[in-house]
Amino acid sequence: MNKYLIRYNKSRGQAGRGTVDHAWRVFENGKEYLFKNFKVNVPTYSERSGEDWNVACHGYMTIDRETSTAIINWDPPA
Amino acid sequence: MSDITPAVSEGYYFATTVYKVDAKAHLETARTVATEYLEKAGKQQQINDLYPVQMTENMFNDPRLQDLSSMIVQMAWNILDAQGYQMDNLNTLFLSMWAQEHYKYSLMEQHAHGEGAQIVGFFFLDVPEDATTRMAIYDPRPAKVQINLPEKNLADITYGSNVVTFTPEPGTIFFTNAWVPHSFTRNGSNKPVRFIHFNIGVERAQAAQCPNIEGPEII
Repeated sequence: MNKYLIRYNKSRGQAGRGTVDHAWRVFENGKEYLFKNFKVNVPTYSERSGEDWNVACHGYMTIDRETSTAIINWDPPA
Repeated sequence: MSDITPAVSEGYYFATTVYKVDAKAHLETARTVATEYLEKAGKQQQINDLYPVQMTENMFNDPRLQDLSSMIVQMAWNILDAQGYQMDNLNTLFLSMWAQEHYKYSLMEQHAHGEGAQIVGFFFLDVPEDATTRMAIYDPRPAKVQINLPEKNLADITYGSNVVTFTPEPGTIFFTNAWVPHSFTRNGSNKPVRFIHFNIGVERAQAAQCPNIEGPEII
């Protein structure tokens, strides 16, 4: 099971930071992804890291590249 | 009693700096975009009699302003770097950028920007010849403000000055640190004064801190 932190992409639209629609930073065990959407199907809690506040959860992520959506479920992808 | 004046060396510390940048190359594009946003704002909100000013939504993500936006965030980074801050692991980014249209008698009262802003700035788009609008900055040291003595001549800019004013010109950008209180005096012209206001913050350049960490994967 992986740990995920989700927070707003304050630098969206700037070089290397996705388009203006890539509004969400999703960290999977520290690796960062930029998504336009996310859907979390597991319990969440808040977690602060430095000056940033995150939505945190545990689970397994599926990436829908067509819609740029991070989907986090309790069970690993089949 | 000796009439010999002792040698004195003078040092200035804790300075407040205002940077003036010629940005006429961006003026026409910025005017076009700002006018569009102001027209949209005008349809959504009425002008207040007490504060006859129109303000737009955020504009920094508008692709037409990309060249201007890039110049501003880079300039902000250069300023903080030149001021002695350790900027190697920090990126500058927009917190906000919006247009303001000040009609006759409009002013902006003294304020400073918090919420993580490090640099603020003003890009003047339209300043009528008979406009009386001046940009004013105020001494940010409350201890000095509290005990300031009367000044010999308020028109002179001296160590004792509490406020300094600037005459805005179209195509000019002023940058300063976000902790500098600022205001705008009333516009006495029948034509509006227009400018773009922006606030720049910083964030850690995570990838730059550790070369082994990859940048974000953009999905």
